[in-house]
Amino acid sequence: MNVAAPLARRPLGCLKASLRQVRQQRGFFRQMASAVSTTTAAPSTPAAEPALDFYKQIDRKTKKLRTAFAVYPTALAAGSPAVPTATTDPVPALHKAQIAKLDPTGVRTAMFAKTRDAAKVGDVLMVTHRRGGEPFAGVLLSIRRAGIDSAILLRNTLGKVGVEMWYKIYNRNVAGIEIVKRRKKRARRARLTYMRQPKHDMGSVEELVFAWKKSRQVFSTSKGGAKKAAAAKRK
Amino acid sequence: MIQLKTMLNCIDNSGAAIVECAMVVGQKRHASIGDRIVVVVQKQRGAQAEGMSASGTGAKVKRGDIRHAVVVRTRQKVTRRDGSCIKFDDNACVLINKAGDPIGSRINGVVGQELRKKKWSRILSMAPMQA
Amino acid sequence: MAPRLPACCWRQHLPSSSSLRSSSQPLVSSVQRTSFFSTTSAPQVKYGWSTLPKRARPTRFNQVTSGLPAPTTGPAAALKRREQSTPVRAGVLAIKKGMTAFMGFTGTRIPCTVLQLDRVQTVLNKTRESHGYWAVQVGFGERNPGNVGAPMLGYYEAKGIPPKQKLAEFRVRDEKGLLPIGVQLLPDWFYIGQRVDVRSNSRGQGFAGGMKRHGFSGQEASHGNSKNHRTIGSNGPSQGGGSRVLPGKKMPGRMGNERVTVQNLPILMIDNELGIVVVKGAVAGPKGCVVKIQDACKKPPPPPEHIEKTLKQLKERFPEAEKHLQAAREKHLELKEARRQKRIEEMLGKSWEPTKEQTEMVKRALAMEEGAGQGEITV
Repeated sequence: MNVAAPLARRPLGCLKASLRQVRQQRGFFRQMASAVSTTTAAPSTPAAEPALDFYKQIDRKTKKLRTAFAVYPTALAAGSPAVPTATTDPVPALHKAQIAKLDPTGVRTAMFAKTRDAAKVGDVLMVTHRRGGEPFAGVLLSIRRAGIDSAILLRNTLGKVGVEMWYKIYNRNVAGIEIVKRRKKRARRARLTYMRQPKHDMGSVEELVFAWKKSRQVFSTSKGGAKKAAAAKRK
Repeated sequence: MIQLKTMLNCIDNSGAAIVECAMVVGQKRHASIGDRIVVVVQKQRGAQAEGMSASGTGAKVKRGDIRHAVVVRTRQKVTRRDGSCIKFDDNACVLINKAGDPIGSRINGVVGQELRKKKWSRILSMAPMQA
Repeated sequence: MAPRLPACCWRQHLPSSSSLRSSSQPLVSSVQRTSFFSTTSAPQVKYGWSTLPKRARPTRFNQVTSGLPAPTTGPAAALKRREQSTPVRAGVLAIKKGMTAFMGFTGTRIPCTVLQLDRVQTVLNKTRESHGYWAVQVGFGERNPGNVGAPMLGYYEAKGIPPKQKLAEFRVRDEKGLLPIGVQLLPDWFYIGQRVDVRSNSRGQGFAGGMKRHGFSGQEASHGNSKNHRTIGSNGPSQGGGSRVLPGKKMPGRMGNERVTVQNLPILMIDNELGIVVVKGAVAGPKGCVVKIQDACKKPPPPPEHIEKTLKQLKERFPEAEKHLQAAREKHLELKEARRQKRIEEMLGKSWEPTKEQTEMVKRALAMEEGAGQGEITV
């Protein structure tokens, strides 16, 4: 170790000479070690040189140190103390930032959160589009929760033909989602795909929507608010 | 995904009830909503269903006729630009002539909105509802 | 056809060369490569004799000066040929974190892939002189040193870099694309809207038949077909056609888990804090696979201002890069020597922190050695 100091002080150009010097010094080093009969300590490393971690390879049989290598810490090597690592999953953070931008009031998130008041599969929902057009109403068959990409599946029967629509709940084209009717009993499935079968098909929800609209008008004239349209949101 | 041999419902009043896809027009593997196909009329609308008037006026197409048609509903999901998807429970089409004008004068049943993008506004305006 | 001799060979056979030279000066000027010292030995009897005129005797071949066109094969020609399709800058390694979507203000949905960078550092510059091509080796992540072999531990020790999880190299066009060693590449190496190529290994599909793997049509379901509905059929012509299976014949085998490049993906977002690059569209492979991101080779390189900016940032973030590398190299040499001499245990012993008297002793020894060393070197 006592060769470190002279080595570090000189440029690499005279490395050959330095190595020769090392070789020359080796003999001296041994002499000195034997004379004092203690393990020779290394001199303290130069101030510029930071403390290194050493990885030691131990021989399995003899349990003795076989060799060792210096392992540099990342921050030291990269030069910056704040080194981002892959330990954090960026996708939730990304989703959070996006949702904060697209749903500042949080109503969309709340509507399909796993809470008591949230919409659940089996409920009848109505989706209003931003660019006008007929609102699409249907029974909620499934909710696909995927952060900003979350979507809902609605099913209705329009003119004797079953129609299913997936809507992205955070999309700007979805101007509003309203709960027309809640299911009486909680559905015991996460996805009600069996409702596509003729035996379980709910048929058209137009009557429900009509009744709901009518009741809402009644309420709005009397109270100025709809009881069941609590989750309604407009932009 | 309408391809050779697919059976479709014909939802206009041209007289055809069920047609079979004979070809997809254009370099396409499958036809989707708004795509043009060539069909063979397999089943006419029954005389008893339409009544005497239908048989009296005469259906515009007969069984075995080869006609062009536009797909208006598919069982296959169709994805839109905003990420929403639409899926119908059947495959349906509307017969047209070579020039692209509908043969029938009425459409009964819902049609997909993709027709607007593919410039079938005439059919779209005839439809009672669109989804 | 006999090869054409270069002009310098036959021109001297022309009659009255001196008069021709004087009459048509520009024609000859290209040939006049006069030098005071001839490259060949003087035509003396001592060195043998030749009936050929002096300049017709070629002494060197395939030199620029020999009048031959530049070779179209060989490493130099290959590098030249690929110059335009080689990116100017190195790329980065990242992990595929999964897909999500961006919702635009007009209501459009843009599917995108999240790629995360993790302690991406430059490890080695490969040069034309020593390796035959220009490239930057880049390391990703970090690996437990216990899972790294001794040769690689020594390699990282010499670079002053912790053992990396993954190493990959990125070919660059020329020496301008080389980077300082040990610097960290962050997502702002790219800019939003830039087009990149993303390379990764696709999902392995296992052993697949010809229909799935290569899209063969298969065979008939009926008409006398027996138990050969999804088989690939013929392997090639018989007698007359060589009676052999041609190399590269598409057959059943392992499908997937091969490198797939998706070209020209636009970058939608970069974030240094999260360490992510978000590209539009899909990237091959499962979540958690390592991908290589580099400037698109079929698009013009990033503007020079951006390249300059990123290089400046690298320097600002780690101005000590060169010094650090130099120190690491020296340390490595020293440790290597110690390992060779089996002295490493002493160096790592609990007396790593020396006692007082030891320090005194070492100081004295050092002073003596210093003198001896100086003497040695000056001599």
